[in-house]
Amino acid sequence: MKDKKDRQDELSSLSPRLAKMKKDNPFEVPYNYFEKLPDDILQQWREEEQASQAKQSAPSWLDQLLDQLSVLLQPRTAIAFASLAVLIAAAVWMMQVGPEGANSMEVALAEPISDQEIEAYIEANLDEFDTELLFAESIAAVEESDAGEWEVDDADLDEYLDEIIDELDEEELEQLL
Amino acid sequence: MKASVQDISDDDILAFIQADHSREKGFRLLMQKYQERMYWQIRRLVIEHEDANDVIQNTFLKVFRSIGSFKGNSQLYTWLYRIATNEAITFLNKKKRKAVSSIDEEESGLASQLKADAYFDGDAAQQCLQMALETLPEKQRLVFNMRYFDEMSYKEMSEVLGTSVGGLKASYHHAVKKVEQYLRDAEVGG
Repeated sequence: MKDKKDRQDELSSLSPRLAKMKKDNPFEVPYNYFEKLPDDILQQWREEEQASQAKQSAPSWLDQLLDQLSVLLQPRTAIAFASLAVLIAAAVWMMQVGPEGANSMEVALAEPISDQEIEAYIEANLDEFDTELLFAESIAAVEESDAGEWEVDDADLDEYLDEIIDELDEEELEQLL
Repeated sequence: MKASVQDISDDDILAFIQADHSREKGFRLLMQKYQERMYWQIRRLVIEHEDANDVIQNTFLKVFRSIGSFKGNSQLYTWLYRIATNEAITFLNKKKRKAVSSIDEEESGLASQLKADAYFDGDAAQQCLQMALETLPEKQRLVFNMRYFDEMSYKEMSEVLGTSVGGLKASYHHAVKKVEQYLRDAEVGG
């Protein structure tokens, strides 16, 4: 009450015209405006909340990307991708150095290998050779070679046998007979 | 005898809002208790009903979104009043920028605007008062409305605007003097 009187006194001292004016509200609102307003605002609030929830539940493109990356970063997948990457890198490297590598191989093959080197290699790695394969290869080599060199006439054969008999002593001869 | 919504305390309304199951009921009570005071406060600043309707809707939506940050350091109405005032001023500034940038727009004075407004029913003196208020700087107009129409104490006004009581008194006195001068000139001019 005192506040109201203070305000009125203050106004009267500052502006007699304003103090005398009626304070009727000159503005109006549409019919039933204040009865409907809470419903209108609550409706907007609900729509806003629904939109907000929908936005939260729908993953953004960044979330989707991160999900996919997390699958790729699983240990098993990561190892598979790393292996694939190594293979691709090796293939690319070989394609780049390929011609030079082939040349060096050709040069190596062009150098003559002596029989001694071959024999030494075979003896050292004899266990690794397939005996059946070696035998087949030997037969094939004989067949491919000039057959005339291996033909023996009867005279030569008799001569060869006589030499053997001469070299045998009596005991060995008796054993053979 | 049926209890009025005005009899429900702010604490009870806030308790309704804080509980998930009664939040909407709390919002409804809050609006029913304060919507008219807030509407008129906004309407006196923006003048047209359609504008006031937009501003009050935005104001309450903002209140709903930020009610969790209300700490109870000030009265609930003071907090609501502050948000409504900020929204109204933001709206007016946007409207001013739009008017300046619109080259083709015909300049329409407040007098013709009030005459065209279906929701303004003031007499010549009230129309003259509105035009006098239109000449005031924004801060003085705000202070005048709070003191003259809303009959707020300087202490309440200080809480809303964050300005000292002395500063508010000075603003109000300046505003009233300017309005008095406008009314006198209008009277002489006929």
